[in-house]
Amino acid sequence: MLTQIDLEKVAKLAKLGLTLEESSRLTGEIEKIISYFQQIKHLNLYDVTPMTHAVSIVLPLRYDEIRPTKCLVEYLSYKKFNYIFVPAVLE
Amino acid sequence: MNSKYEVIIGLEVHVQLKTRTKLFCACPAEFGGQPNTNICPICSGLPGVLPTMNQHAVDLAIKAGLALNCQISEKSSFARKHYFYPDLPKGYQITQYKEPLAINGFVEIDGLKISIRRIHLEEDSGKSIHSPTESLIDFNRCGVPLIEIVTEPEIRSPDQAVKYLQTLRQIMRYLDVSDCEMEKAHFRCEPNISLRPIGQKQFGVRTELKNLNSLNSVHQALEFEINRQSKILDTGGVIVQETLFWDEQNRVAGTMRGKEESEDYRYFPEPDLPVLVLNRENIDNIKNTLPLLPWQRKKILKEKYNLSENIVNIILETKEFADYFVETIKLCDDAKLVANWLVTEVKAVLNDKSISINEFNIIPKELANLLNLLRAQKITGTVAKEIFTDMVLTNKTATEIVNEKGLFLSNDDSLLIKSIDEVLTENADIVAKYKSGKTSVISFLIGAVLQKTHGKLTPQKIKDKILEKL
Amino acid sequence: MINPDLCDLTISVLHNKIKNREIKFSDIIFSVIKRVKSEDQKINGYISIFEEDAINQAVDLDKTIKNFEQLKPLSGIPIAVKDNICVKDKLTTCGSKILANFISPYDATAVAKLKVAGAIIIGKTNLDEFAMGSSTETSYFGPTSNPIDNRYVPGGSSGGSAAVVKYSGAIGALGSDTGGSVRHPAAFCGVAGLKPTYGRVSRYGLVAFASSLDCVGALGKTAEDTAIIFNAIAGYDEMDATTINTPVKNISVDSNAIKKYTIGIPKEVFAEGLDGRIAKVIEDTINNLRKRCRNVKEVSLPNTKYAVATYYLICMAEASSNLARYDGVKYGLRVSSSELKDLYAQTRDEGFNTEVKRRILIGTYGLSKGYYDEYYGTAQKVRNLIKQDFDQAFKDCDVIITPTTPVLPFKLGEQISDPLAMYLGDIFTTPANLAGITAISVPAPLTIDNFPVGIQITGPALGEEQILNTAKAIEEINE
Repeated sequence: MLTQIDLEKVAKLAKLGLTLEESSRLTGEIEKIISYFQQIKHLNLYDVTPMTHAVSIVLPLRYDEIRPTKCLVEYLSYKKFNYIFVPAVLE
Repeated sequence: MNSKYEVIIGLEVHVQLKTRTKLFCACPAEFGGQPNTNICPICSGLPGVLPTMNQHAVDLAIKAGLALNCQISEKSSFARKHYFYPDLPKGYQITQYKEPLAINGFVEIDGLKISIRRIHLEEDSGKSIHSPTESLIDFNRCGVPLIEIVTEPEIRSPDQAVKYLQTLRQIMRYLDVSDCEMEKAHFRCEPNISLRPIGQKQFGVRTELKNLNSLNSVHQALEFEINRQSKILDTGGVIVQETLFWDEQNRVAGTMRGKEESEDYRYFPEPDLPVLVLNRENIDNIKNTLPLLPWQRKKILKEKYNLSENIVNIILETKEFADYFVETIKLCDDAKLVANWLVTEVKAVLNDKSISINEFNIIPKELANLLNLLRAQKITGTVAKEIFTDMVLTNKTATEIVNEKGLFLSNDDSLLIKSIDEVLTENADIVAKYKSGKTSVISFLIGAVLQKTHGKLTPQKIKDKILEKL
Repeated sequence: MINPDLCDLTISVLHNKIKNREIKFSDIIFSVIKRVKSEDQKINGYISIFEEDAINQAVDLDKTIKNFEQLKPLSGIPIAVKDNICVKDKLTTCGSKILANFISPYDATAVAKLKVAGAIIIGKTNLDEFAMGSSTETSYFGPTSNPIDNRYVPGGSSGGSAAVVKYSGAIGALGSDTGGSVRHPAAFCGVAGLKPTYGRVSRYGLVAFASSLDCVGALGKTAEDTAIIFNAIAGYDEMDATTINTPVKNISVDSNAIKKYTIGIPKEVFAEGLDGRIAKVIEDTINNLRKRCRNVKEVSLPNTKYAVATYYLICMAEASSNLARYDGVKYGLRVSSSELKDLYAQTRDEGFNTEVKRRILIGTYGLSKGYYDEYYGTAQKVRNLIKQDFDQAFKDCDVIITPTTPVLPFKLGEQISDPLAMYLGDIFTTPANLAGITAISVPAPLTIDNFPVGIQITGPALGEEQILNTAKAIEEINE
């Protein structure tokens, strides 16, 4: 059972600001969806390997050689003297 | 230190790998300089980009794993570690979680084995500059390759921790895996520490320490934390599991602010990177190219050349210094003489100029020449040192300097006899003492003659002649 | 004079007309643009259209072309690109407010390959926000309508691509298919939509939704048109570590090849939840197909009934990760605030629509401490079972035929408030994504009440040629 408190915790983790109205509405909807998902929980999956990739290939390796790209900084929107700025991060 | 408790320390060390490009893209791995210039769509987390794996980073990680006696995994995998922070452009870090590249190794320090639990590859984040009102972010460091080396909690004191770090750094430098400059954050250490009453088996609650920028601060911070924890335990208090931030200036460790919710990294297998498969042959190839490591060289130096522990340790401090020694003794067959010169004269110059042996202007061949002159008794030790100083200053060879200044040892006995006569006359009282049985004063006479002859004669020769006269 | 209906022709017909100098490149572009201008206001298939660029390129081609014998397969062919695939120096919005102003500095590999093959990129098409949906109603730029009947949805999430191909606002289009997003709208709009084998077409430049499932696919008027586009975009890419490094064979579609095939029909298909009108059309089509291919047999895919639950658990978890980068820090929307945590929360609250938020929330939940094994971990195991079902089935047959969707096109707004019902519409398309194999949807005959139906042909990994040949045979039956 997913409670609204659970959902608000998850929203915090996902950095999603939800209004009270939103989180109460979503709790019901999501609870319904999650209970539909429960159907796979009862399968006998002992001995089944999790499938993490759609194809089984081996990781190709790239030669360690610099390839300059054109200056990208113009594609970053929120800048001060070439730095990206955000409100103060407290540490 | 409170002796009621046993100190349990585990270390996580991040080592920046010496590659040309970043771990997952072909941007230069060098950072610093203008902010946000060494970046591309991949390392700055633009929509639609995918990571590609740097072969050299994998090779360096294998090298490190082999040198730390690890088992290299023939199959290892990557995972995403999620957290929001402005200098982490994708919202997750690509790292290794369930299947690291290397496991179960050890490092030996002073005859004690410290177990290495795992070594894994991961990408670095960017850098932030914080002010009270805003933070400025530079992505140049994003995606720079790191290995994380994790020990078992087997370290028992701050001294041991520092010793382990020194050894680890030395190994990484020998391997040319990293420059390991702590002030450039090539080598970052995050210790975790707990105390338990002596005799207790169960571990206590541990804290983690961050922001340690030198071996000194590692030591200080660990001492601080041992003190803090034992005071709490002494008064029956409870240690809170938390990450503490070391304040270098005030030498205190404080709770990190701004961490509201407990961490939940939501690791899951990185779908963009298939399994990294390393075959035995590749691993063996890398194994065969590993340089001799400090402890291997130590054994050789001690056994073959009969050098003292202390001198060997200084010689082996860096691979370059050790290589310099080996090159020199190839041309000057007196390891002890070479070793002594390296750890005193050469080291003094390096320290004085704050340079490394690579930047030293006297090449092994020339140092060997100088020392060979000394060994052939063509010059005295004093003269050799003078010549050495000249070589450092002028870049000239020993032979050139000797020829210019006429510093070769004189075979002219008449000069010697004249000087001895003068000295004996001038120091009649000393001669009298000698004759009365106080033979040790002879060294004073030898010294006086040496001075008169400007070091052109060996002390032994002078001594022989004086004895003849007396 | 410009033939006003050039845009209604297929790629190969246009190619031949150019080759025979019956028409100019610019004739095609003018015809397509004219159609866009007359239709797109009603349909809303495009988010951006590159009219001037496209015309310039075509006029240039007309001026510079010398050797008509060596035309590239897509020379001068206007192709539309779904707006979650990057085109250099153009907006790539993903139909989202959070990327509404984002201009891509690079070309997706598929787009770069289309350009190399001579194609003219004519515009970027509408989609469900971040490709999450089956109706193309959730775009920040408004819903797309079905060109067959404007009151109906075009399916999704590549609804824009399917719609513009249907009304001939482009000759072909790229879409993306994570759980059916190319095939579903192809079925609803009555066009062909190919989802290649995972790893056969580079994902570099496709904005990630669920990385282990995402595929760039092709939409066209016919199976052959999708094959021509597929030929141009397929292949290993050093920028995508998950691409398959085996040579690509140029496919030329041949319906006669199906004589030698064994066609599999999963017995689980005609079950509860399938619209009877669709069942009838599919059964009729299979019966007609027997005239050209004698080996039709029943196969079993016992675990596909879990495909929707498995698919959604996986795609939501991966989406929650892939969408973490849209945080207002670097690009796209930023809702300013004096505190960083509010900047994050408000930007993401304002930037994403409800469906995207729903998926991020469920996905985050499914990966969080204590829930991973129960949700994401379990789904990965069931995914393996579903793949094994296909491995087993393809021992006995070459292609598998099913409907593309269990339901017929619905009206705009009809299902938007029932997400679960919407998800269940993906029951037939998601298995191919989970198994990483290839599938195509081509139009079957209309239902008795004149609704379009898609028929899906699924093949094993790298079995594109088989399914395209079968698809063409079905098209020929319908002619």
